Formats: sequence, C-alpha cells, structure tokens
Amino acid sequence: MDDGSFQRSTTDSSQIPFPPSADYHTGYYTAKGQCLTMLKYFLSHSITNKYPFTLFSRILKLYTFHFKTHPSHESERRKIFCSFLISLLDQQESINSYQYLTEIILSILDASPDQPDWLCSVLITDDRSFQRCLCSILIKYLDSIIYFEKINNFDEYIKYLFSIYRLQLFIYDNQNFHQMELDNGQCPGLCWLTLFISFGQCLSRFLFHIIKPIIKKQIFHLSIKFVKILILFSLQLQPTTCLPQQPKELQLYTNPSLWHLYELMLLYHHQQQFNNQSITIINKQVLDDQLCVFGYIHDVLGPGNDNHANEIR
Amino acid sequence: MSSTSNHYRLLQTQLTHFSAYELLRTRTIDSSTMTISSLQIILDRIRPQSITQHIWQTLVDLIFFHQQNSILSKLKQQDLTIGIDLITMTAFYQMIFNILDLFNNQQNRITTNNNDQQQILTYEQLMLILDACSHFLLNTIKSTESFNKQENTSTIKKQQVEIYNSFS
Repeated sequence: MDDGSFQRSTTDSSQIPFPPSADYHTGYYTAKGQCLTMLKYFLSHSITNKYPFTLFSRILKLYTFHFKTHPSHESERRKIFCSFLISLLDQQESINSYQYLTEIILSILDASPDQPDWLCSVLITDDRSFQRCLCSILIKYLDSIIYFEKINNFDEYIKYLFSIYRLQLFIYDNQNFHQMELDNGQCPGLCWLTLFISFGQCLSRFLFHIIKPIIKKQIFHLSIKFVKILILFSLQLQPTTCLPQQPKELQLYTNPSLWHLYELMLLYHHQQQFNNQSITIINKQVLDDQLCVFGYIHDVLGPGNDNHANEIR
Repeated sequence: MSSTSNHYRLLQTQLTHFSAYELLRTRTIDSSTMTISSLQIILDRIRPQSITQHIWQTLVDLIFFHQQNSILSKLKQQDLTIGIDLITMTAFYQMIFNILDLFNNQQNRITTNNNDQQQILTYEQLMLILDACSHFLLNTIKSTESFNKQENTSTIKKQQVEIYNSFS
C-alpha cells in the first residue's frame, strides 16, 4: 500500500504540509529533466529512426511548450532551444520536407528570440564547431522551391512561406531586431536582407507560374503583406505609431531584385480590376494595404524605369 | 431510484477523493512487469479517438475546476495546490519518459531482431497519449497563467480581494 495518496485530492489539499520537502522538488526536476532529454532525443533522431511527421510534430509541440511558458525570462534556456532548433533545421536536408521546416519555424517563434544573434551566427554545439544562420538555411530551402521544375505540393510550400512571413513580422515587431543594420554586409544583417530578397523572388515565381485562381490570390495577398512589411522596415517606422524612429532609411524595397515581383503584382491587380466580380466585398484593411503598397511600388518602377512601367501597360 | 442516478452519485462521491496524481502515477498491474499509469490504461481502452479528447477535457475540468470558480477561492488555494501539482507533475513527466523509453526500446528491438515481434505500443497509441499530454499541459499551465495574469494586471480586482479577505 502506498502512503494513502488517494486522499491527496485538491479538496484535501489543506492538510498537505507546505512547503513540500526538498525531495519532492528534486524528484520533480529529475523527472522533468529526464523527460525533456528524452523528447530532445526523439527530435534529433526523428529522421534517422524514420519516425512519421505526425509523431515529430507532437513531440516538438510538447517540447516547445517548455520554452514558451515564461517568455520574459529564462533567456539562456530559450537561446539554447533556438540553437537546437536551428541545428534541427540544418539536419533536414535529407528529407526535404517543408512540413518539418514550417513546424520548426513556428517553434522558434514560440520561443520568441530576444536578440538577432540568437538566430544568426549560431554556434552549433557539434564536433564540427562552425556557425549557422537561420536565414541562410531558410534561403537554401526557398531557393530550392524556385528551382523545382514541377511544383506539386502547394499547400506545404504556402504554409512554409507564411511561416517565414510570420518570422519577418516578428523581427519587425522586435525593437532589437529592428535596430539591426541590414546593409552592413555582416551577419546578422545582410542575411536578413538576402532572406527578404529570396522570399520576394519565390513569391514572384509562384505568382508567375501558378494558374489556379485561389492559390494565385493567396500568393498575391501574401505578397502585399510582405511588401508592406518591407516598406515599413525600409522606412524604419515604428510598428505601432508608424512614426520614424531612426533618421536613416534602408532602401530595402527599392532593390532591383524585387522589381519583377512588383510588376507581377501590378499585373495581377490590373487583371483583377477588369474582373468586375472581384470588386464585390473588399476588406477595408486589405484595400488600404494595397493602396499603400502600390503607391510605393509605382514610385520604384516609375521614374527612370520607363521600360518597366511600359511593360505593365 | 434509477440506475443512472446511482451511477451519477457514485461518480460524485468518488470525485471528492480523486486526484490528478492518481491518474498519472505509474503502477504495476496484474502479472505484467511493465509499469503503467491509469491514464495510459484509460486512453488505451477508450475508442474512438474523438471521444478521448472530450473525456480528457472533462477530466481536466473536473480535477482542476470542479470547485468553486471564484477568484477568491483560487487565491486561497494557490499556495496549497502547488504541493499536489509538484507530485502530479513529477508523475506526469515520469509517464512521458516511460512511454517514450518503452517505445524507443521496442523500435530498437524491432530493427535489430528481424523476427516479427508484436508491437506493444503502436504509433497510434503513442500519438494518442502525446496528444493527451499536450492537452493536459496546455490546460493546467494555462489555468495558472491566465490566473496569474488576472492577478497581475487587474489591480482593482486584487484590491477587492484584499478587502474581501480582511472581512472574512
């Protein structure tokens, strides 16, 4: 017979001596530590052991939970968690499944990284001690979507793109990331700029190749959101007030690598305007975003770039 | 008295002595050498899957919210419930560890011996348990989290409680 623990219900809790003995604490932390180590083991060996994605995602969910309960503190633990996730992303090469990537990015967001260097120039604690950068890994996968001859898993890719968009939104909302110098040619900084551009190019490829109207529309809306963030980021406007917080402007959105995307966005927009049916009920926020984005895009493509403007008309 | 009301009464009386710890505590059942928690047995026997979530939610609600829902009573209990939570959570983590360890050993045995060994724990069962665990974690932590938030953000409420306390 055990120590009559069935009486230890919440109703009888007043009879429990408090605070609990140190043994309870030790037992708890040992059990929790063992459990977390086991979860981590499952995550890192998921591919080699050929576990299905559904199992991976559940274990990741359970593990991530322990790093998002106290977002304001425990920064060292969360930082280690982020570098673990980045090392996981780095391993995914062999399976090339975008489901995994998306889940891992969402977990990174759950851990809400405090500083740019949590994600960039991350030391992977491995026998080969070299640096890894979240952006460069994500870019690698974005670029491979660009070069896929036949795109058949739209849903997976779109979810992946949305998770990267959420990451961009996150860095835009975080002051520490916002003050990052994107044009200094170093990591962190340059890598984010490259991520923006690769992301834009991937969107333009989708916008160009996809014929299915619903998906095309989804991509178009994502493009609008993305370019808006890019403009706000470039002008260094504050997330809430939209007032300039730094005198310096980063000319991110004017990068010529993104012009093709802008052209395709304008083209799609023109086509939609001819379709009367699409102008039925338009969300005001969506309309505002579009007006804002198109205003800037016209400026980029307009002066001194007449040939581009003509192409559209 | 009808049999249904009897059942209901039985459930009620048992629940007053019911603890989350009992549900999660690992124990040896029958002649089996494998330690297993009541939760695992319950989840194992409940089919179909969709019902499991509902039953699990009900259990969590009953264990953690079946008393008066007022903020005051929760405040009074707060320091007392930590003790039971620690034991419960220890059992909870032990259970996850045990189940994953079991699964891992089983997979290793399957890959090393090519004999068609019987799978004790299937993927589906494992995932069912993990889902329940996530659910448990989400609900328990969330309940304390939202409660703490209420306590921290709403100073007016806190003052009210303090006033209330001074009267009682």
